[in-house]
Amino acid sequence: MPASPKPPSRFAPRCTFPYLHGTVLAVNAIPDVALVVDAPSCNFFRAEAVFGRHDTRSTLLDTSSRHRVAVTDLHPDRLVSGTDRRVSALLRRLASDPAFGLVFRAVSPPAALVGTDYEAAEAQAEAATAKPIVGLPDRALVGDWLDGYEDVLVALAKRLPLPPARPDPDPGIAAIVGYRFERNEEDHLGNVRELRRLVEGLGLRVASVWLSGEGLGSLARVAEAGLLLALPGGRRAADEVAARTGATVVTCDLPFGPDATRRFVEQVAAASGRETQAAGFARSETAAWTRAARWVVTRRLVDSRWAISLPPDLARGACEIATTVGADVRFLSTWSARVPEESGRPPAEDGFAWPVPPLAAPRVRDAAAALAPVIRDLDVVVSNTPFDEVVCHAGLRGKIVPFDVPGLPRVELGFPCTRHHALHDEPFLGWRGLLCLLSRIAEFLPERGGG
Amino acid sequence: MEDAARLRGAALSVLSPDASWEQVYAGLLDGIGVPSLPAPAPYGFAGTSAFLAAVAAALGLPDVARRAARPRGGRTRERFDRLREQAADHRIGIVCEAARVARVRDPRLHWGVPLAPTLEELGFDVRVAAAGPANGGAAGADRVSTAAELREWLRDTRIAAVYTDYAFDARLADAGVAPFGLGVFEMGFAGAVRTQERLLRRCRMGFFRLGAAGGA
Repeated sequence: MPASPKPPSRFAPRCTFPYLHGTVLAVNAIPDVALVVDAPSCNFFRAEAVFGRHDTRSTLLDTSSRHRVAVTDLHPDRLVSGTDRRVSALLRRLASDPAFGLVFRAVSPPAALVGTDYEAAEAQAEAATAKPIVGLPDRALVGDWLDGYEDVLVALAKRLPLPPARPDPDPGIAAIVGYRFERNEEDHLGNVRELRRLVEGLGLRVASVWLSGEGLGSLARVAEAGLLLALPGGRRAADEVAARTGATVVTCDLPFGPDATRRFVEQVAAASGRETQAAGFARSETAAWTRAARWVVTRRLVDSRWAISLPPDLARGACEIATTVGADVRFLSTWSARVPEESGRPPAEDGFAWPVPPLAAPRVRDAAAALAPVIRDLDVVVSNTPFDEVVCHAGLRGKIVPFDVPGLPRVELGFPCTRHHALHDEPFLGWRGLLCLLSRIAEFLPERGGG
Repeated sequence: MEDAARLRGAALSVLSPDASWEQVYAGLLDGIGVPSLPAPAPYGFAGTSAFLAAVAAALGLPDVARRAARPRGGRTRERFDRLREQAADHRIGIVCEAARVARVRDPRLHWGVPLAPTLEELGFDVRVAAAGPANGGAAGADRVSTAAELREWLRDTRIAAVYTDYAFDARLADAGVAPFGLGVFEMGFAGAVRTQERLLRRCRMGFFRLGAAGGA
C-alpha cells in the first residue's frame, strides 16, 4: 500500500525572513550605529547573511572583530542567571566606541523569556557613554523582517538626537522616510539618487533620506524638512518625526514602476503646490523612458512570461511594470506574510489588480507546487536568491535537475541577492530605475519575430 | 530534402492556402501520385473545425469529418467565449495599401492567415484603413491618403493595436497604439485562445499610450 503523502507541517519553511533579519538589515544601512542582540550565538549568522554575501559593501562585520552586530551568546545554562550583565557589558563596549553614535538593543524570542531589565541596562550604558541606547520592541515572534526593519526606523524617529525644531518648517525642504535601503551597493545607492532626483525635479530640496546608507548626521537633517514624504514602510516613523519637528507628513507610494512613479511625483506635487512642474516633469520623463524602451518592449518584452517572487511592495510594482509592457505574469508570490495590499494602496483605489492571485509568504513546498505547472513556460524569474529553493522543488516535480532549470533566466531583485551585485549605477526605482530593470530583464528574452 | 522525399509515402498532402507557395506545391507534388488538399486555414475555432473536417473528409473519414464540423464545447471553448467578451471592448486596426486590400480577408494573399476574419472571430472590433490615392476602390475600408490622415484615423478610431508587417513601426509607437504581426497568430483551438490572450495583452498594455501621452 503506497504511503499517503505527508501533510505539510505548520513549521515548514516559508518564503519570508524572521523579524531580526530586518533589524540587522536596517542597521546595515546606517554605518555609524551598532546593534546588541540578546540572543543565542546563532543569531550572529544574520549579519553574516548580509555582510559580503548580499552586500559586498557592508560594514556590519570587521576583520579586527570590531563588528557592528554583537550577540550576548545566550545559552540555556545561563538563562537562569539572567543576561543583564552580558547585555550591559556589550552595550557599554559598543557605545564607548567612537565609531558608533548610537546603539540599538534587540531581543530574540528565547531571551525575552528571561525577563532581563533592559531599560536599566540601557540607562546605565547611556549615562556612562553619553550615547543614545535605543531598545527595539520585543516583536520577533509576531512580526517578520519588514516589521523588524520598520521598527528600527520608528525607534530612530523617537530617539535620534535632532537639532532644535524650527518654529516654521520650510515646505520647500523635504525628507523621504521609509526607503528600505537593503544594501550599500549601486542598486540601492542608485535608488536613493533617483528618489532625490524625482523630488528635486519638482524644485524641492531633499534634506535626508531614511534610510540611505548615510550616517546619523545625515539622518538628523530630517529636522530641516517641512515635508516628510512617507513611503509605505515609513509611515509610523514619519509620524514620530513629525511629532518632534512639526513637519507635514505626506503619504506616498513607492515609486517602483511607471504608474507608481507618476503617482509618487503627483503626491509630492500636490502636497507642495507644484502640480504644474509635476505635469511637465512626468511628461518629459515618460517620453524619455518610453522612447528608449520601445524597440525592446515591442520585440522582446511583450508576451514574455514572468514569475515574480518579491516583497509585497516590489511585487506590486513588478506587476505594474509587467502589465505596462505586455508581459504575462504566470506566477506571483510575496516574500512576506503581510497582505500585499498593506504595502501599497488597496487595488480598488487606483485600479490596480494583481494579474494572478499572489501567494503571501507561502510554504516553500506550496510555492513549488504552484510554480511546477508553469515552470517550463517561463522566460524569466524576477526574485531574490532564496527563491532558488522553490525553483528547485518545482523543478523536481517537473523532473528537472535541481538548481539547473535549463533556459530559466533569473533576474535577482530584493533581499537577499547573492549572485547579482550592482557595481555601477543601477537603480530600479523611478523612471531611470525602470529602464535599468527592463534592460536587465530584456537581456534574457529572445527576439520575437512578427511582433 | 528528406522531408520532401517522404511526401511520396503520404496518404494526403495538406496545403496551406498561400498563393506565394503555390508554385512550390506544384513542383513538389507533380507526378508523385499523392492526392492534395488545399485546406482552409486552421485559425480560430471556425477555421480549425473547417480544416479538420476537410482533412478527415479527404482521408475518407466521414464520421470524423462530421464530428469535426460540429460546434465544439469544453473548457477551451468556454475560455474562448469569455475572452471574446473581453475582446469586444477593444478595436484593432489593419492598414493596407488600397490596391491590395483584398489580402486582409483572403489567406491566399496573406501567407495563409485570414487576417480580418480571424480577428473578428476572436471577438475584436476590426477596422481597416486603405492607404493610397483617394480615387482607388477599397470596399469596407476607411480611406487614408496622407501620413497626417493616418495619424488622425488612428486617433479618432480609438484603436488599441494595429497589425503591421514591420519589425518595429515607429509610426504606430508615436500614435500610442501597440503593434502586432503574424507572430501572434497560432493555429488550432488552444492556439486561438492563446492568440486572443496575446492580442488582449497588446490592447491593454499601457506602454504605447504612455509614450504617446508623454511625448505630446
